[in-house]
Amino acid sequence: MYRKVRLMLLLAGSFFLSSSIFFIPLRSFISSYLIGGMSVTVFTYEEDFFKASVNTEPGLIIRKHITSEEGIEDFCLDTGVSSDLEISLPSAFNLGFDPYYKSEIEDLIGALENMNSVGELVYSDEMIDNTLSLVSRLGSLFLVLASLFAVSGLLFIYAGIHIYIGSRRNEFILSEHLGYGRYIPALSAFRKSFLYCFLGSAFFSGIISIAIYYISPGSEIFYMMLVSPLVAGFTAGLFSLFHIYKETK
Amino acid sequence: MLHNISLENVFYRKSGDSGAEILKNINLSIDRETINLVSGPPGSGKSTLLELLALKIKPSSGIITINGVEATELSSRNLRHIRRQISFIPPTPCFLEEKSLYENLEYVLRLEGIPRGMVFDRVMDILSPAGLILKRELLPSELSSAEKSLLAFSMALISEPQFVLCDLNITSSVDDSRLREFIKEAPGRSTGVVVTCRSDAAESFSDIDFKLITLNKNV
Repeated sequence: MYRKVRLMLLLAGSFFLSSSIFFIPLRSFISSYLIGGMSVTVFTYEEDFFKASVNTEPGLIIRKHITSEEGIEDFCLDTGVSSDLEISLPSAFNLGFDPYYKSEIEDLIGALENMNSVGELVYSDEMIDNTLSLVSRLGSLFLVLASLFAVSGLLFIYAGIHIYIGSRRNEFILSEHLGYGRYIPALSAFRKSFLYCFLGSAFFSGIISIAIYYISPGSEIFYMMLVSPLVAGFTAGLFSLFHIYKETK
Repeated sequence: MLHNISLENVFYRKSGDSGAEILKNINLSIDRETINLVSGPPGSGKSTLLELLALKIKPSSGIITINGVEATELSSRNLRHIRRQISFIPPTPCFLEEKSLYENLEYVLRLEGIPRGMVFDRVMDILSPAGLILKRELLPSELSSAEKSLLAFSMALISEPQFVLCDLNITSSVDDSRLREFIKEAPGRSTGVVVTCRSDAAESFSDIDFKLITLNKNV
């Protein structure tokens, strides 16, 4: 009974903590789509392909993954964009929710206006402001959600570890009485707590990463997939040490 | 290697306001491969004496020496090493309640770092004289109190410590007869035993050599 409750708590904690960490790339990903409605990103090289997108009008994005130099030419022919054009927006990851990129967006629009081949651009200052304001509000919302998920994750992991260490209390007492001290069972409890949450978080991170990568390929997702289990594992390990100290002092 | 623990002019007072004197001027030596019975009325300090011998508490005054070295002067690392040679059984023994008898004994061997391949034989070797082989799959909660005492002693003995300090206050009753017989086997395993008992229990050890330590209540 306790074993199941403990496992559920640790898994829930790993899920919430992992999800909270994934809010970082997720919010950038969503903001990039919102900002994408206003911007042009041409021929940014990512991993093994060129990512090109161009807006012919707000909200309409042509996005293509080009895997060769020939592909760039085809893309330029299709969209009428000059292949010499290199305008780079700060990457979506760094762009975040900073509303002070307005001037850069305006620069981009200016550059677009000079591209006769792109066609007529439909935009207004109000539209830019609205988009940036939406991105900013969304950013705050994501931060609140990320904090809530992180706190919930920590609480679940804390409760799971509390039950886990409580169930091993007799091991510490026994080890102490038999002259082995607390070090051996404490190390074992730390290792198992770390493993439970590391594996739980790796599982959820994997699923979330694959889901996000499927929608928007990007390498930063996979950094998160590595970071998230380590954070969850060490959090659980530290909680276990704290509980062991409390149980045996 | 640990050969003896000796107490010289040891006094132990309770800390706090009362400061009641529990042990007064204790002088004794506990040797390996011997059986030492500690008897005395309730409150005479039997448990405190065992805790002092297990180096769990420090005396208010006096010297505890281990193989001629003063215990209070030992570094914590050396003290930890010495403690590994001493198994202590409290009045209410502690078990892993969710694990079987076999797994409880296996846990002790795991702490000791015994290779997996040797565990089964070692466990059987201790369960056989304890008469608990047929009960090895039971949980500790399914045992009688006499059997729990046997299990506690088995767990203390299985790692082959130099000393087992047993605060089970054994009696001369039939219930404790198996435990008494089991305790008598300990010196054959190169282990010294210090066990608290009721005064009448000493007679049941008359067929072997033993040392009787009698404590009087300090009023």
